[in-house]
Amino acid sequence: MSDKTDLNQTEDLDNKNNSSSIDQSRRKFTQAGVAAPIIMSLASQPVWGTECSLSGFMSGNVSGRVHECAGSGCTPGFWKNNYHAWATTNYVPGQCVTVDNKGDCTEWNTENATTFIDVFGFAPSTQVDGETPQTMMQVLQKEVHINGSSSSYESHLIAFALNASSNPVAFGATQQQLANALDAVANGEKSEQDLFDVVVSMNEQGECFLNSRGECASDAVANEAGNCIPACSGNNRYDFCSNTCVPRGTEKTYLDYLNGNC
Amino acid sequence: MKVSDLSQAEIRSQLQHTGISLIIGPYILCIQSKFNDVAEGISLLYADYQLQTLDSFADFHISIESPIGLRSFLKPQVNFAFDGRVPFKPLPRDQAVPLLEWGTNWCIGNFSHQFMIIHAAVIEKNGFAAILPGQPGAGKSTLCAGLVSRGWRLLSDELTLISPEDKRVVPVPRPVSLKNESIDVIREFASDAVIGPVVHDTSKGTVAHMRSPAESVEQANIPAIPAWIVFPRYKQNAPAILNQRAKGRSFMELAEQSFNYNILGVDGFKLLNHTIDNCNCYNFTYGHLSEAIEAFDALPIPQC
Amino acid sequence: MNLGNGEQERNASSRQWQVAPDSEIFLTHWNNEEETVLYHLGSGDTYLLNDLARRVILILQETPASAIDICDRIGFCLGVISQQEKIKLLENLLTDLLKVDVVRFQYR
Repeated sequence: MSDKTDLNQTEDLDNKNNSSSIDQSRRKFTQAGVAAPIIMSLASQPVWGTECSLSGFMSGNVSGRVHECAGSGCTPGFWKNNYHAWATTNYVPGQCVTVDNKGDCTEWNTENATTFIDVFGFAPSTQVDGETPQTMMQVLQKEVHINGSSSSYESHLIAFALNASSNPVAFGATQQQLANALDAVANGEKSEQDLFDVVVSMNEQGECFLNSRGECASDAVANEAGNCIPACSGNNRYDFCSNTCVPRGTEKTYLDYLNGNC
Repeated sequence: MKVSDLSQAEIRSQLQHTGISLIIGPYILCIQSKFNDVAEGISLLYADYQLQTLDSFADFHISIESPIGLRSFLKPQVNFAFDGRVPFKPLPRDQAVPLLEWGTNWCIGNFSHQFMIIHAAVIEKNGFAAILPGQPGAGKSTLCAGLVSRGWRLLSDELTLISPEDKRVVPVPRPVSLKNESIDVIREFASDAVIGPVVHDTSKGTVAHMRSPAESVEQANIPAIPAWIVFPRYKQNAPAILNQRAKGRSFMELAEQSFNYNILGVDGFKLLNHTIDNCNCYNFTYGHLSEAIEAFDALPIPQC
Repeated sequence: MNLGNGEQERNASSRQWQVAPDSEIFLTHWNNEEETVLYHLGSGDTYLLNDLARRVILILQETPASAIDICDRIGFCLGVISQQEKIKLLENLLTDLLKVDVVRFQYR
């Protein structure tokens, strides 16, 4: 009957063997034995519980950003640009408001989608007082608009939640683990900066496991055909003449633009 | 018939309509594009490649195109499409030719599991292959470009393919990718090298591609026996030094640089073991290409 | 868990180690090199092992043995550090190999 019992580790015997009377060949053997038998290892697939993991973070084995992760993650930029990929998660990015005759979306709206505060329990820093609660997609968009890229703590939390929801095995973490980590930060047990470092490392690890369809501007997303389409919010619609989001009913459509009716 | 037998107008026309099918080592690559710079790039960099008749099977159907449909919301872009799928984010329009090269590397790297694929340059002399693995920045592409300008045959500058059947390296010669300072270094070192358009501000910096020597393309059906594994490291003004490197560590490094060692399982282990067994393994530091060439020319053939 | 010396030695002699069968692990080694590469079929993982680990595995490939038996056969038990320390050292090495399923043990 075999038993994988954990046995005590030996002390460092090197320190006891510094006498010059020791035969050098024996010493080499001893040194080799003191060092772990496994010098290098190459895992065949992503491994849970490495330094690049949320479970490592929670158990105190992580410090700083690590770039040698073995899993796969998708960045906030990916999730902002690819609403179709949200179908693999349990979060809603918004809705399509105009479809062309091929069935491809030509305009997206980020309302009626999962809100940031519902998921994370606090309002995002991009929230304006009096405004309806911002959706996860809106936060990603605002980040790009304000900062040029979605690299903030909140954007990365959003990406982490989406990654964990979409493919916890390839990604290496679950949504419950994220919830526990956020609780730990809220309680003061862990620092927000440390969590940010782990979250970024995991979101940026490997190749995104979903197909990207393109990089679009801050107020646009990529549709099923890989084309950038406008994504206004609230009761706004895209005006193809002024290239801005305007109150619904006042916009000029793509057809207006094509026919020169600007 | 070769690409160079077609006129520019014919190349543009074929690319825009039915596509151009190139024979590249064991692969047939069918390329379509409406872009003139892609036509010019193919005309220059693939001049010596044989064309396949269009009704034949192609391994990869590739198109370099602009994102279609509504007006673009960004500066003009270019997409790489493979078998109808768009695997990457679009790049700025002026990166169409590098995108063709990177995209083709991706296709071969992801869909060639009949071979072991290692991220390494590989060159041949007298029937024996020298494999040059290395992290980006190690100088392997520059070294590779230098060596093939001085009598070594180019097998590949990026992807070493080893056949599990005969354990030999399968050539897949393509334009050699040069970055930043190495573009000028090679221009100076090999004045008759044909170098394509220089593209700035890519994610890899400034890039250009050197046309593969015609003999390398013509001999693409001749495999080579792996004999040397050389881990290069460029260091400015350093003398060329070859040091024996432990085979155990070389094994692990090559496995790590392989795209599909894990997928091949125990067969991958056995193939890599066989390769390492039959090769001399070295660390190589160099600062001058001419000295590096001399060191390579003096490599001893391993004794069986 | 802190065992006294006698306790440690008794446990070391009762733990009978064996290596995973040849169908599960593949070893390769080159002359004049100290390190060895091992491929584990079950996990698909590959390891670079030190010389002591290789010698231990070769001994176990002949027959299952305790850390004390291995210590005698390896011959490094002659020397300045104590027998107990060398056995502990071997047991720790074997434990590391146990974690990656290269060796197993049972109590006899």
